[in-house]
Amino acid sequence: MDFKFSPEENAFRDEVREFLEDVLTPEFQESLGGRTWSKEFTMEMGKKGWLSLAWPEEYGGQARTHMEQLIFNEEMARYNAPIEWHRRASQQHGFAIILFGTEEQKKKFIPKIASGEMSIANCMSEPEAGSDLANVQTRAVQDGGDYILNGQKRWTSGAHYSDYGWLLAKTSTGESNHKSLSLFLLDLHSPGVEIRPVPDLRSVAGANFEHTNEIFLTDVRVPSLYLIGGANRGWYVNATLMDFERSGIETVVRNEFYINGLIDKLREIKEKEGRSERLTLLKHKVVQLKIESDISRLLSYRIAWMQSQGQVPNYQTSIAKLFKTELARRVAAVGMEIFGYFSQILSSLGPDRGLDQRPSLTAMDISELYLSVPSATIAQGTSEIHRNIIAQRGLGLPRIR
Amino acid sequence: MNFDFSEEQNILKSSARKFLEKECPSALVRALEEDEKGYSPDLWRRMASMGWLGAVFPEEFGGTAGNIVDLCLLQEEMGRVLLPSPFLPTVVLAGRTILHAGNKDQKHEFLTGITRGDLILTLAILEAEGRPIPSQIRLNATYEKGDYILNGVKYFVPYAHVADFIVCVARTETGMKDQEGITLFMMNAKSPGIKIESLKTITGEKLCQIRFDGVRIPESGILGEPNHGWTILHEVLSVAAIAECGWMIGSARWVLERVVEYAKERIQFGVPIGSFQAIQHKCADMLVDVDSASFITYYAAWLASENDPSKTLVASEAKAWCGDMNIRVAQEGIQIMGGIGFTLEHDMQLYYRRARASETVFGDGHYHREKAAALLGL
Repeated sequence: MDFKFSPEENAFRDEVREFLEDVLTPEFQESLGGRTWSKEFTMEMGKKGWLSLAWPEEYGGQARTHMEQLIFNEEMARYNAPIEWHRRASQQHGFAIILFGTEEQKKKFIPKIASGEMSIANCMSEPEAGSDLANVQTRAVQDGGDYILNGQKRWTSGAHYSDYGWLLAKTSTGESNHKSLSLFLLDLHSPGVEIRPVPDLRSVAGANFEHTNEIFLTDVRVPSLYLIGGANRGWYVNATLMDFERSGIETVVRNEFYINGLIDKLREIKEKEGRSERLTLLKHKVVQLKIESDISRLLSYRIAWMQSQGQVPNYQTSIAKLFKTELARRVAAVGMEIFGYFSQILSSLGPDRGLDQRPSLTAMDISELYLSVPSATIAQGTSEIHRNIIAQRGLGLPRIR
Repeated sequence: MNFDFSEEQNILKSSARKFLEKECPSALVRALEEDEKGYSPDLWRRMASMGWLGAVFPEEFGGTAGNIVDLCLLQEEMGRVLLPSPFLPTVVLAGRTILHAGNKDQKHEFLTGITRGDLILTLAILEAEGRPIPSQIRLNATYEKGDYILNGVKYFVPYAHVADFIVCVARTETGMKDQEGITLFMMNAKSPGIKIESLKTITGEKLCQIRFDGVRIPESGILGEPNHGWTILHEVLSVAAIAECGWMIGSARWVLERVVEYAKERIQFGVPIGSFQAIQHKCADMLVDVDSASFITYYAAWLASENDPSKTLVASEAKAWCGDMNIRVAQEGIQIMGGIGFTLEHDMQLYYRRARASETVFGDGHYHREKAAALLGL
């Protein structure tokens, strides 16, 4: 048992922090106006080789260890860096192309992902394929050397600014769902692609906030060069994207930011108003959040550690995800108790960035958290699905029929 | 970063598991609950020869010089089978107090006696309010011509009725801050004026009330410095809380294993009940609970072993979490088993009742959250 990082790991952490403090100036943060993506920031990362930080060296990667990747992601989250332009491409899709792509595909896409030029959105879910993702209905029919795509995608984060979409489509019938899907890299500027934003609760806080999109595909022509991993292998390619760092440390860091802010807020109240029954009640709730936050950090660290040992985390990832997202809901609830009436306020300018530089948590932060938190337990696997996974894969309970 | 135990620790764990699986079936647990002594002297001697009683003591006293992580591992295996024994009061409470407060002779005499399995000790701290806080220490020790005279009552003293020696926490000076003026006294349990009565509880633990009526203890019976006993005691109780967490993880894991086994075998409506989502989700929550408890406990144990500045805070975090967790898991353990889980015939009831004790001992959830809050400046 050892919960320390090595001196080399700490040195890398310092290096990442130095970069972020250099690039994420207050002016730059303001220019973002609440956006979580920035091609400019991404290309600075690309110059340092950090978009391919986790990739094997023969693909221009740095082959950083899982613990280093964890540290890297942790610092990105701590500084609230706008990583969404590159996050999916760098951490997931680039890896898939390296593992399953043809030489031609690797030559065409890898350098552009590594430099940060190319942004890729996730085009998986559909109206009829949410938790049951294998129930994808979008069809891809062969036509000469191309495929013609028809269908609809939903909940596609990043489609409104990305060049490409990572898309699952049905390329055969008569087989089980899992054996009839293929992965395509779809040029989102192709004729026949229509993208419509889907405003959600986060949009109430401001236009620059994250939202998802619907994509309508009408006779979209996709060259077969853009089929990744072979026909009808899409489900398995997607399922094998396990080697990138999957600790989910970002939400852990985010929760910690709020909880530390709530602790500071109670200290403020104690100083201004002295001891009170209200303070006693609130401090017990905040302490409970702190306990759960420390647990959540350990559950996420465990994932990266398992990967560093060559193990493949399975239900353990579900445990970490379930715990941290349900914790986020409790954080919002306690935050609302502490800020009271004011935790409905929204500034007309939207949030400023640089959480670490902000002096104290504001009521507005809690208002925004209240808005965003319901999606935490739904996206990337609902809490219910994760409980099924934990029960079935973690405890061997029989699959539900 | 390393989430694994060392090879030695894994060996300690697996040998303890094998030993206790054989030596402590639930029939023994039930028998010892009825038994007046409440422990098996034969098993105690065998625990001594396994080296367990010296787990956290230096080699010069016959110990194996283990750390708090090793202690937790042992406790986990003991908690798994609900081993009824005076291990915790002897080794973790009295033993560690002597280790940190005793002089050379006291350490040699008592710690060697403990590791050999020759001595049973306990610690008398709680009084009428039942909370381990300095202001509640009112049993007084008045100085009189080279001796101290002790008067007062202690409650919930584990295994006092079989103890050879008792470490008693008494107040020697008033008019100071609460945590000053507390002194630790070591005494033979048969000293004149000591009256020990067993308490009957729902949990099956052997707890006693001790009346001190003009008990005369020479100055040489003091452990450490007069009036400065609380500093030592505070650390002993913090580590005891971590040790109890180890026990709770072991118990909770047993409960989870039993209900998963049951859920796979029990057929209702033509299918194993483990295929129903409600049951699956309860089991999933239990695994999350047990895993979480394990991580925060071993983190706390590691911090204590490293003497890290945040060790006291995280010890309180772990105790608060594990106490609640263990009761939740035990309750769901009965729930998933249905009617059978509620009977005395099934072993689940043993874990449910013991969970109640673990939540309270060395500070309950409220106490530890209060303590953590204070350490966070609230």
